[in-house]
Amino acid sequence: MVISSLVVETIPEYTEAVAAKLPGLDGVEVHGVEGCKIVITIERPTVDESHDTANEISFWEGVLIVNLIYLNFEDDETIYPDGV
Amino acid sequence: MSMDITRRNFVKSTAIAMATAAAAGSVAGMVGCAPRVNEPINGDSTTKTLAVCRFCGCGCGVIVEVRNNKVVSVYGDPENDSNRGLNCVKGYYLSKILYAEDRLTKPLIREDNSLKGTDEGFREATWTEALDLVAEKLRETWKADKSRLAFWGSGQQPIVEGYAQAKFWKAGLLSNNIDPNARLCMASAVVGFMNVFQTDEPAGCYADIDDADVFITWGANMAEAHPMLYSRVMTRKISNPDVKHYDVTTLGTRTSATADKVIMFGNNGDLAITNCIAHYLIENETYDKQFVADHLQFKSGTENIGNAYEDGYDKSEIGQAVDATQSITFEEYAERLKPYTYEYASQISGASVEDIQELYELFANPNIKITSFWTMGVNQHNRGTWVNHNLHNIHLLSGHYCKPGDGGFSLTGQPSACGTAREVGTFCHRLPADLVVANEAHRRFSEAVWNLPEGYLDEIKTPGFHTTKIFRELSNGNIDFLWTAHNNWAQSMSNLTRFLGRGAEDKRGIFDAFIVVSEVYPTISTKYANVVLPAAMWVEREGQFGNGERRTAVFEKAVDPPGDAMWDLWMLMEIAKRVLNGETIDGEDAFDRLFGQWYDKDAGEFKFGTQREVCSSIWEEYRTFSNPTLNERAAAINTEKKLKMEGKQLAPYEEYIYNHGMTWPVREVDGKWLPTKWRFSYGPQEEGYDQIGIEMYGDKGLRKDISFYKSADHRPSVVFRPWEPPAEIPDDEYPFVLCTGRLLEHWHTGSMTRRVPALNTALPEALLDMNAADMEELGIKDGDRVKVISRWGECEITASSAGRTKPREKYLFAPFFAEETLINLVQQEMYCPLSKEPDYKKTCVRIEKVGA
Repeated sequence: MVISSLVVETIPEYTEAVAAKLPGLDGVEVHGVEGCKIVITIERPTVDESHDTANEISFWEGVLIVNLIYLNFEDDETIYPDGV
Repeated sequence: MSMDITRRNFVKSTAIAMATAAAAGSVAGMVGCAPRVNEPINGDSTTKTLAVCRFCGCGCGVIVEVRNNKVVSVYGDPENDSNRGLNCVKGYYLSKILYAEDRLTKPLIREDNSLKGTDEGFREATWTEALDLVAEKLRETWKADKSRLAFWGSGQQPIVEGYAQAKFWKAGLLSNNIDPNARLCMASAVVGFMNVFQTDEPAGCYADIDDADVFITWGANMAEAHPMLYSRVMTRKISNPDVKHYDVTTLGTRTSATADKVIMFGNNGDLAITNCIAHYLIENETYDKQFVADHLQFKSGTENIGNAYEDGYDKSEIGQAVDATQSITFEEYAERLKPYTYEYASQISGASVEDIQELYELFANPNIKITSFWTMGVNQHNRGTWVNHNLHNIHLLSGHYCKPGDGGFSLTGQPSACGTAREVGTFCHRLPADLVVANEAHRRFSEAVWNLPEGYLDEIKTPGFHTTKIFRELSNGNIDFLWTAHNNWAQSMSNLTRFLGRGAEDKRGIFDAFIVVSEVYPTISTKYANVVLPAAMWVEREGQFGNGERRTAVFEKAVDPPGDAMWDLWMLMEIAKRVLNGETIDGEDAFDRLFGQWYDKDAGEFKFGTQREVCSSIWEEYRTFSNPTLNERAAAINTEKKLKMEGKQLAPYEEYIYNHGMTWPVREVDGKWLPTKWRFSYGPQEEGYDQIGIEMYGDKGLRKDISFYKSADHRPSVVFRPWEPPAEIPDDEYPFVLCTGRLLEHWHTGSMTRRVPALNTALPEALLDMNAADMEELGIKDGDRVKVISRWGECEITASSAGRTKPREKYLFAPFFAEETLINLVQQEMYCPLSKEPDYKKTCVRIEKVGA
């Protein structure tokens, strides 16, 4: 699995709703809420799918910006078909 | 093989810990997460190296983790003060861009010029054959007629690579026909800074965002072009609901969508709006009187400067006069501003009287902190230098300058537009460290650092061809040898119809010239190449970038380049040694005199075992420009000619690694090197103020504890710059105003980002964004193919009212990342007569439905 962690910044009135909606996405877990920032991880098979998920979140109502913090992609077979 | 459960748990818990710390904004809590030296983590073979993002001018620090010579993870560097652990979503592709299938891994040679413009006709070659050929052609042109060769560089070249390239071109070939692609994005900002402050630097830094009460974006789509900084703006706004953001723009963007107030204008109205603000600051006596008395001088300049339509514009009478200024009194300046009433500014710009007045009231309020950001909308402008002047003018008159949260900041576009292009001397009129070829003392100083005989550089006292001039002369058949590196001119230049030889019969020199392209992937520019040199990319070698806030940061070599791809610096040495073969300087072998301290030409290798040592050694020479005491001859000239070269002092190389980047000037205090964040502002150096610089050269006790010690008479110049119209005005034949620019997903003409499937899915096609009313009037539906036609050329594109930007009626936007669309076929080639930066923002066009 490609593992990435992100901070999702929201408009304050939307923080709760966005945090509640996030676990509905495939591979997404919420790990905490700091003010209007939500800490999440995305676990998907490839970097591309991980990006798609992050990108989708960035277009949600109430989401201001999505920051990528950490990304590990040693399991992405589209990059490393023979592993690392 | 997938990660085992132990490693997976380790990776995931690291990911969560880092994101939690970043969300809390607690950098302190994350110290220790980033390495100072390579060290294995988790008991396995993973190593961490320091790096800087490859994409935009934000210059975010990242840490790269490698296993078995492969990059396996990246994360925001919490100890890099520019981004403090954050990256934008482009970070997903930082490493993936290394691994697309069509990486260039072999030198390519093409003999048949008739196949230019296609991918055909190339054969693989050895390095020896490719280097011999390039050097032979360069030497042949050099010996026959030096005016017929040129190098076009990049704000993506690392600092020491750009520095060595500039040294080869200026001191080795004695040619000024070298210019960077930063001419296309930053030149107006440079000339603005030089004219106003006599130094090319912003007063403030990214940390201003955390203190500002008001943000004003002028011609800047920060949300897409500078995502990390925009995230910081958002964080500031959320932390204090009273903080407001005004977006002054010609176009609705993602940045406008989150602004508190959007002020739309057109018709070069930015010049009128800024003059209007200045007018009322004086008229209502709301300017900062002590600031003006202590700090400013006033000037007027040449006006009615026309437009640079003709190839010979620069040498025309008006073209020669555009830089001239004269001192005027404050009263005379005030008099010139008088016509700029709210009504007049509104009439010119289309912005409402109330909106302009609201902007004025911000500047008239001494109790708030205003941070202005501007970028391509201001710089890519037929009066780009003038708008830069006027933005500085309103910040200076109102005293909103040089203090945390309170100042003007010109955003940059490429990762090392500042550190390399602007600072190491790759412009056709410059030498390293802001020095210029036309100044005798500057030439003497450069000769001292480069160990050249006195007077050696007098041969290059006249500036060479700037970017548009290079491509104009190429098309005219007056360039025989062109070498370009890490840019994509065949896509990013204006008026491609002319420059790609698709227009007039007598403008097809591109097919005759010998063209060398150093690249990592095939681009449209490589289609026009005779030789393609495959380069090591990003962390496949060690390098350094200098970002928008003038933070110099090192990226370490993490992995080897693929195939036969090589370090640009090695290619440069190998070409230089061949071209300079048999030449002497002062009786000594010319190559050895310039590069012998780093490179053994007979062995064909660097004299140091590691790239770290090579970079560090070149850096030490470059650093002498800003540390003249390292060189006795240079130090004497610095003192005698009062050059103040320490103004942009750089630290020893290793300091940048230990400190995860530092903003210049960097000062040594009690054996510790400390950065400067608020230039010209007095205060403790430890807190980022310009203490040492002001104590060395400045004055104390002036308004706001500021001293503009690098400016002539320590007084920046407020130059009156009037409103003058765009180069083209919409008419019945060409009723639309076309703006081109960047969008989030694609960077650097898409040469890297379009190779990433997900980025391509997110933004697969360059759309022409149109207003729905215009589409209805022309009978165009979303998804219809249309022709965009200008006086310069035409191209086909898909129209949309649902694109990323939201143009008003009669305005259009198209991004320039798509090779298959090539929107710049229709762009005018006019540039700002002062900065020579093209105007990409307002070519007049008409739209025709294809097949209608």
